[in-house]
Amino acid sequence: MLFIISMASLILYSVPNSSFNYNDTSAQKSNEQIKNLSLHHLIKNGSPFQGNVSAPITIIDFSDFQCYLCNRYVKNTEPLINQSYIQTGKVALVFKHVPNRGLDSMDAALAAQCTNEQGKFWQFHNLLYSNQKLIDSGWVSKENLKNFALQIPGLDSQQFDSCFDSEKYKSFVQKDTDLALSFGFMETPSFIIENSNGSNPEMLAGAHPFESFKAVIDKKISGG
Amino acid sequence: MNEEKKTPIASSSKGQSPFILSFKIVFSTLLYILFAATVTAIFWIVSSIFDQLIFFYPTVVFYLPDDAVVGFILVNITSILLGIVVSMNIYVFRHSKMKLNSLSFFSGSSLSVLSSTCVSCSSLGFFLVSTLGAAGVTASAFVSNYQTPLRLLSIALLIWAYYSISKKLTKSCMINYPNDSK
Repeated sequence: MLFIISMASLILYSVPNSSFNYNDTSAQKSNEQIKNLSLHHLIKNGSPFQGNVSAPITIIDFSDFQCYLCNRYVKNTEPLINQSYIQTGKVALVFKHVPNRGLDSMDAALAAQCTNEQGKFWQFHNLLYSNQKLIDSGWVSKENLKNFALQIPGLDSQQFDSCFDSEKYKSFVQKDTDLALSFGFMETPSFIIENSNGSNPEMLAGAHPFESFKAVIDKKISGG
Repeated sequence: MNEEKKTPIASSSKGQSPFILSFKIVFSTLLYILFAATVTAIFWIVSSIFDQLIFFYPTVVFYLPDDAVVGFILVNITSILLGIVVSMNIYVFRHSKMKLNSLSFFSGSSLSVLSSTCVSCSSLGFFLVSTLGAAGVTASAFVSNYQTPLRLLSIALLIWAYYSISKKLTKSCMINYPNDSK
């Protein structure tokens, strides 16, 4: 009986944590914080993004390059979102770093952010996820990250090395992580789907399938 | 040992494998079938939630991507074994004064829960980092990296638990079934 009760408690605990509406949480964020989530603000601050800058909906993706569930999302869900919503100009996708899965995750995040200043973030992002191996097995060691960067056509390797070696974006990455924490995210990947002015944010925690994103995006597009 | 204390099934099924015989003894009663089914179903649902195969919001969806197939098969096996082993342990607990094989049962079931939970150990990431620092990250990474071997180990432990409990159940001279004969 104790076993059943504990299992039932786990289910009840898990369900509300899988996703929740921002508007329903007791910890309402200030207007300032909502403004900081606007697509314009996120782009201005240097967050990697893809899609139309005037897209009505923004998805903010909080991920770690060593997280295999993030890889599941990148392989299975992101292409469908890209095809259905990003290519059609309805959605812009913004990436936020949450390097919490392993000791090498921070280096991967720093390297990726360095590629962003040369406009090569998404190539590097896809390259890392397609080469993902076991956490902290050395696949994103400093040396390997530099080798990955060399594989990106048109990337200035000297500029990249200088940026990466100086840990130029360490505070930037830390701010991304702090943002995730401020929204109560406890796992990667996690997402905020919002109107591009930062209003009406809705959160999805976990590597949701396309159906989940579609349900939220379509509701927002139809004004719900 | 008193002859009356032997079960009719045990005494008339000489030569049958302890696995089959014990299964027949326990699951000839509807109560234990229901109990096993309940435990299996609950563990399956919890594991699927932690493996991020079931989502309840914004739509209820079951989702099985290619990378999750092996884990899903292992979870199915673990869930069924767990249901059987829990039911059998309860049967023995209720029908005898003998000590449960707690080592194999609890190590098997707890390892099953641990491995399925920590498959998505990212959910513990912030907690582990903030409370245990680098050691927490390393522990989380280990359990995530070796989820399949851990699940196989948990299945092996559950089979061992099943074997142990089966042997005890079929040693009829050790089991007192005063209520069953009524």
